[in-house]
Amino acid sequence: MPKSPQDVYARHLLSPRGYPLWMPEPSHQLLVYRRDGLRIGDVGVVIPEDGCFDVFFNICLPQDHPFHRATGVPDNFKPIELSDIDIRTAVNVENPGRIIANSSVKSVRTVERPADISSRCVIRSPRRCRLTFLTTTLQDSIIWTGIRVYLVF
Amino acid sequence: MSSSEGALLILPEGAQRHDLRNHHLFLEAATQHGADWYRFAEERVGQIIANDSLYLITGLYKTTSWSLAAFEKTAGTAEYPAQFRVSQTGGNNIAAIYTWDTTRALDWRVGPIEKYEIPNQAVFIRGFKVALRTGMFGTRRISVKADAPSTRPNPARSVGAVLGNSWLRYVFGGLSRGRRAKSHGSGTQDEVTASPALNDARNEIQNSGALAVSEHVVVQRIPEASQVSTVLAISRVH
Repeated sequence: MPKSPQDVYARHLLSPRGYPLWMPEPSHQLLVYRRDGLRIGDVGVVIPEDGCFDVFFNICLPQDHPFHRATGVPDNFKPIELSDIDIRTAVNVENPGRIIANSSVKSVRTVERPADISSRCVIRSPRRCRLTFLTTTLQDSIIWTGIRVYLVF
Repeated sequence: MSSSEGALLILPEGAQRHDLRNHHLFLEAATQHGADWYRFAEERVGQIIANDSLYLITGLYKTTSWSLAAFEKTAGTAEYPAQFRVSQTGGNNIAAIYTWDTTRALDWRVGPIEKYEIPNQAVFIRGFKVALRTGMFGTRRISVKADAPSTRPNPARSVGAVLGNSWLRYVFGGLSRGRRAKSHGSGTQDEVTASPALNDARNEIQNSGALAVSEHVVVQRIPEASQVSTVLAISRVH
């Protein structure tokens, strides 16, 4: 049976960070979920074919929350109220430009548009492949102008 | 693990990590109400799901934009050039800003299409796998484990199978709890009643050739028709 991209992706990037989703974007149509995305307390399933998380309900949201309006909540539902202090947040845990890769990525890269360059960074991926890349500033956040990744087997 | 395939996640704008500080309330809720959750998934959401597939999120990595790729070796190739590029125009549609150039078979995605200032893209999730198991003599048990979510559609293949991933112990230190349902239990009780809707769902699946693959899922969950109408008493097992 052919493997789905999610199969390959999840198998290689599963790590202490957690389970990687091939579709990180919120799947739910409701505006409040589209804006905020998945959240702590969501109960649902990973859809194996496309690697998204399908949320059924959230154990921290009240029963009458708009998200619960469509399908309701399970029997014996008692929301667990969380305050900000109950959630630990690390804002810059991954720096801009982070590459997370498995060991078969041996990677070197060249910047395509040197005119855009404003700074130069060197990072190491978790598996010790050294990646050099050049960055520019766009809308107050550092992003790449270009990177060439060689995937070596 | 084969070295002929691999995967890559690029976080051009970095990522945030969110974690529940105290897992015990979640663990307790999943243990006590897991059976209700499965019933809800089937009856209200309308999903026929494998009985180890429900997942409760306790932590995530979130970002505003991403690029990811998965690849497999094609015969004879030793090196596999693929270029990730960022352009400077495109507004809030990241798919118009990030792109991959490659001549080889590379599965890649970039996103989101609609970008918000709030990091709302969940590139990694962590949490509890909530499984509904049927043991010998028809006992039903909810097990709650810090684990990766199951993605296998057929529960028969996943029973007893454990992913060899060590991050779970690292993250949670082995939090785990089980709750058993017995047909003749004793002690303080919750009651689990299986509903007629499940009967209907099962009949529908058995009568439909197109859904034959899913039949196993439902039959696994409720192995005998008699149990469907039986009131099961649940007692805590330490």
